[in-house]
Amino acid sequence: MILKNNNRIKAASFLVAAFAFLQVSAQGDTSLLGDEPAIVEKVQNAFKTTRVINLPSTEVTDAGVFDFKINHRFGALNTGAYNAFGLDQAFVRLGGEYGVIPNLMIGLGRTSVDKAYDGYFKWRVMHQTSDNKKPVSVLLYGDAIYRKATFSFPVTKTDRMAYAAMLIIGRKFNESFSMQITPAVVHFNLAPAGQKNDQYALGIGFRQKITNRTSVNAEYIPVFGSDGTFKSSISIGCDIETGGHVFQLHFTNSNGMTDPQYIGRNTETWQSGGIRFGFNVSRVFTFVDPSRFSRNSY
Amino acid sequence: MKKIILVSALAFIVLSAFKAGNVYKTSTGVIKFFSHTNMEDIDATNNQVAAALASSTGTVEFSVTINSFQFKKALMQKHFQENYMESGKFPKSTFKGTIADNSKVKYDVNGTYTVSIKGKLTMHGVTKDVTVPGKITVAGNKITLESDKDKFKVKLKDYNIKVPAQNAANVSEDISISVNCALTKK
Repeated sequence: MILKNNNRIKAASFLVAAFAFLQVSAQGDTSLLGDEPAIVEKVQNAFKTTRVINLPSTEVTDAGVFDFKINHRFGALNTGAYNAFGLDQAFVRLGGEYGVIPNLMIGLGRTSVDKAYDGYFKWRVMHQTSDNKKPVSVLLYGDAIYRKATFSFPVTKTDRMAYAAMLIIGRKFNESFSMQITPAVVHFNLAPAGQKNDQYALGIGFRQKITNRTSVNAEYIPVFGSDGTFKSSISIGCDIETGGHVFQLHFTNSNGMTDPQYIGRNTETWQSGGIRFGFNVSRVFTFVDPSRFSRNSY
Repeated sequence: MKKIILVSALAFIVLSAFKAGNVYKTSTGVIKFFSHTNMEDIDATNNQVAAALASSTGTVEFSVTINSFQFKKALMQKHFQENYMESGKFPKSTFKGTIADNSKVKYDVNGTYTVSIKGKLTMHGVTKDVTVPGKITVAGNKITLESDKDKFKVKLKDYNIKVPAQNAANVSEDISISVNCALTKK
């Protein structure tokens, strides 16, 4: 009986202690809201636009948004003073991209290099999350071009086609630094004598922000499967964002602006002065209200 | 002895219930903001606002996730997050305050009461004292907090939010904020 009583007293004093503790903690806790669940978000804005420079970036045009692209490359520095070190020459590509649904975009364009038409898609398979459960974004990219230029010998329509396929794996490490690795395969239906139809490349792209609206970008695309005729593409430049525009100014040794061309048909090197100045202008237009698409999916 | 302990325990329970009063909460409150210039009207809505109110003290708290604001244009939303609010550095905005005239609000009588809430608004890493005029509507277990949209305005420069000269014509210096949160008794 005494024991029983003791137990009861113990239980009761435990209760009192527990309530006293609760009372104190309720007063000490200044937040009425209590513990809020940690925010898990898809990581946005790893790059300012859908290209690092030439290389497709981990960004996808938002659903319902049209992005008008003007790309321009001058001639190479080593063409000499007679050509104003390349400024007399011009290569252009006009194109557009459209976000069909969240995570999927398509693009079309035409470039003066080989008078080629190009069409491509980019699909985000995995989107990096802020809790690092998905540490990287993974995207699939495919491009096909049709070279309309006159060849010096008879060619079929199939011969004029070339393709590029890429796997884009990228991570935004912090607010200012992003990086991506981009294995690529390029296929030309018609290759020059002695060259293989397929070439492989491993693109690497970087973005380091300088301010909220400007960044330095660089990309290196070593190419394999060529006998040395075709050179790796190296580009360095900066992104400047002004409202709806993104201006990308850069130096590059590629004059091609479609994926098979700048990866697989690049004959200049930095060492020999085959550097050219170029710029990309991107302007977005919203066609469809984003609320038409599912939340936070852009 | 036993009785004393039990009585004191009971007293604690009653006391704590009395002292804390009722707490009303929501996690789906709505906050909108508006920027009006001759060039452009910008508005965004966040319908995932966490809010709480303790009726006995009139203490009010809000927590707003910056990236949950939805815009009519995706690019605006990106610029808002990355360039203006810098949500990577400052993911949340909070408000902690008290109802200045809490005694006149009868939480057990249905009705609408015009009040003003004084407190500290933290946004973009800057904390400022603000007074928010608005009204409280009591309907059973539900309390609705509504701000007076025309009177609750914040200045961007107070919170160190910079608008570049080229966008100054499109983004207003004074941003109107409207709050509409329906809280339920917890």
